[in-house]
Amino acid sequence: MIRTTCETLPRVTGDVQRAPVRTPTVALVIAAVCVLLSLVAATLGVIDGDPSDVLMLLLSLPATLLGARILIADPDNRVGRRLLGVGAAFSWLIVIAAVEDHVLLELGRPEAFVGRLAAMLDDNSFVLVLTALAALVVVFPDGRALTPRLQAADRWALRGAAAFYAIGLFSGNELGVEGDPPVWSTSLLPNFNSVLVWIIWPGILALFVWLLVATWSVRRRFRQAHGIERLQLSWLVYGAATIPLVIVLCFAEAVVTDSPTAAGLLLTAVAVPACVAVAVLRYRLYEIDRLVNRSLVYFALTVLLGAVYAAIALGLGVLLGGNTGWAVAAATLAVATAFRPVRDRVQRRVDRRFARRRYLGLRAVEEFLEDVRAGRDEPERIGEVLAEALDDDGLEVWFRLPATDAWADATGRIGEPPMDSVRARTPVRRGDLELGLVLHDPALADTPDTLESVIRAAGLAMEIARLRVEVRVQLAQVQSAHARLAVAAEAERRKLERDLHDGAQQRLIALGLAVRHAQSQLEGNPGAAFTTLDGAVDEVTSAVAELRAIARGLRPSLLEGGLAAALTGLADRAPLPVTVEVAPGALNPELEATAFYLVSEALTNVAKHANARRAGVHVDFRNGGLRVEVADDGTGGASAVPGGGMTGMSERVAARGGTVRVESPRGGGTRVIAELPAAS
Amino acid sequence: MKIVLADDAVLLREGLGRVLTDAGEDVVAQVGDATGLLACVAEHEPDLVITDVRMPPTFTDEGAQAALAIRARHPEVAIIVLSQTVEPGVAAAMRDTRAFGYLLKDRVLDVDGFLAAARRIARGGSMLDPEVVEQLVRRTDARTTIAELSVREREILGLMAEGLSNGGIASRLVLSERTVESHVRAVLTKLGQPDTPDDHRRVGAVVAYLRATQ
Repeated sequence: MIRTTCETLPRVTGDVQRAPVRTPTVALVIAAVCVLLSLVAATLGVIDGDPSDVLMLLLSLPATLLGARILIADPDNRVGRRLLGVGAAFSWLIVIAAVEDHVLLELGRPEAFVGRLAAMLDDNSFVLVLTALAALVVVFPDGRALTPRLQAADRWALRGAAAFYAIGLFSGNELGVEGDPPVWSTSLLPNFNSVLVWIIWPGILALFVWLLVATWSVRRRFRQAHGIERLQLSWLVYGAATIPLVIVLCFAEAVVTDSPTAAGLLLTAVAVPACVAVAVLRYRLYEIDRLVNRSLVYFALTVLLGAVYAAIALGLGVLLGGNTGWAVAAATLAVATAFRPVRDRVQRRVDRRFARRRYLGLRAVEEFLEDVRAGRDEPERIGEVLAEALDDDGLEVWFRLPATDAWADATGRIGEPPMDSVRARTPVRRGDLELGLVLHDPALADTPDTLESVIRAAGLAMEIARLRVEVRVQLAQVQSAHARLAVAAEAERRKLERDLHDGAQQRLIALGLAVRHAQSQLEGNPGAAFTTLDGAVDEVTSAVAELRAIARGLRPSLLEGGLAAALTGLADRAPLPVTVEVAPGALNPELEATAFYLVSEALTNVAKHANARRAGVHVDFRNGGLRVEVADDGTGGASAVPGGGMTGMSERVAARGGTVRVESPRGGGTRVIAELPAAS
Repeated sequence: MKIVLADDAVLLREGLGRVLTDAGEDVVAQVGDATGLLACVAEHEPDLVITDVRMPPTFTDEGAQAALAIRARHPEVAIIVLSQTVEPGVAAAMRDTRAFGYLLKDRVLDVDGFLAAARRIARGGSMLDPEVVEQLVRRTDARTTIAELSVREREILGLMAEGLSNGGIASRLVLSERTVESHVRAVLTKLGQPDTPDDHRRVGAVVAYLRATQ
């Protein structure tokens, strides 16, 4: 799980794949020590009856545990190390403060060495914490500072802070009480404090500047970032925004209470590590813009509705003179009624101020929907509207057609949505229904909230558009089938004409000529005339048979006895044994005729080309429609030739909304399978 | 009269051959396709070729194409093109209508009439099937000048196309030759064709008109 996440964060965890992966033993030991120290502090807090020490766990544990968590996933991760460093700094801070309080205040033994030592170590320990936070922020999220200069500054800041802390130990005013003797050393250097002032105040100033620089670096990095990194940073930006606040709080506290301890730090201590951890481990789990956005909306909503409620309840309460039941009911009703519209309005205001692009995108889509409703625009234009709303010229929309599950673009062209590496694909759904697909610039995924809400708003238009596209596609198919059918009918008429002219008509003329010949024979050779007339009668018989065959092609009289009987009749005439199985059931005559022609054509093909020993005809009823199968055991390898019987057959079936499939492996017989839907 | 017959329908071809033989004509060869026909004409140098329009391999206008080829190579050979249906285009394609006839196939059943026509054509005459004119006249939409012809003039146009002389037309319609003459002049004027006393030239005029209105 973690690994998968990490692999999608190449810059943060690019080291993951570097072999050999080191075990995070050191990290785990440090984390264990930190947890131990924190627990000691909490225990002392419990003993002293000081709940604030227990609360202090919130300072150290999140950073420690989250840092360890990242290092388990990726032992070389510098962000993880520095997060652990933050945790360690906090653990150090709180355990010392707790020991100091316990020994000096609770036990009341200001002379005890442990207490004095703790008090000394406590002095300036906030420097460690702030430096650790700055160190974390500077290298987030890829483990490197933004510029080489910053990298150098980062190194010097760490060293400087360590030195500063070490020197601070000798300041000697650890109890905050003038004149108390320090724990050690200052007695060795009597005027040390006056020297220290020249070190401490510039040091604190430098730290303050460094914090500002670190914050600025985050801001700059955020501006340059794209995609995942931007998402990660957006978390940190909100977390880091608390740092200057902390500094102000610390100083304020120092001025007011004269002990710059921890109340303000609490905020940063929880916020920064939590934000960092979420950013690293689950960068998309919560989108912070959205959280902030929602918080703002609900805060404003609460205030507004609360005011409405109070005003109505109070106002009516005064008017009705104590009949508070009605006042409360009226206020509740008003608030309930106002909730939805007020929320929409507040949301829009917040969007306009804090999510400008989302606001504009949504507004463009809503205006378009309004136009569609009023008939001023076509829903198929949704692709163009989305392109404009999301400011992505390359955006393209594909519709999933409901009946066939095929993909089509807005013009009704059937095809597959192009798979290119340049564009990202976001599906459009309505409930469980897949409506389509939006191909867009991957950069839009930087603001998934905007992308998703704009696309969701477009759902209705997509739904309508895809139905319209579907209808248009089907209409085009029917039209082309009709056109093909008309062509086929024309071809059939020509064939019929030729059959009549070249067949029956020629025979009749030949017959006439034979009779003329007989006429001339009658004069000299009556016996021969008899033979000639005999031949003429044969001609008449042939002509009649030919006419009958032509007529049969026009209307299968066989069908009058029902499809099964007609197919059996066809089978009887075939020059090879044909088995016929027809499931019992009644059909409309048109469907029967289509099935009849299909089988007739298929059997003709079998007789002509298949070189088969036997053939079979199966007719099943399915969902009110018909499934017709004609199979033979011949040579196979059949294919539909344009203008051939097979094609004519397919067109006849297609014109009725059905399909014909030919399975004809070479040497494996031929199966013609037609599916005819129920008459519409 | 030496005759070559070309038709892919064997029964009809043989029947026609027998009837022509009965009538004393000399059917020197019978063939079933256009290529064979050309070879036959070169070999036998007949007086008259009678050919079907539709023959193998495409059954469209092989006979008509063969007729054009024969006219080009053997201009002295008279040609009758027989057709199952009237297609004015076939007649229109023939620029030299001397010794040319275009007739519906069933005309052969009127053996005497057919023989007379065949002999006339073999002597250099021309004849279009009355059905051709019938179709022409039926196309009386505003675009054609046929619409301007009177009923009598249309009748006379048909007989002109059959290759009849003024005298022949006069006796057929029981009119004086002078009346016929003036009608013929009117018809040709209306069709925009030059007047000519030559009968087959008048058929040519009809064909020229056909070609112009195709």
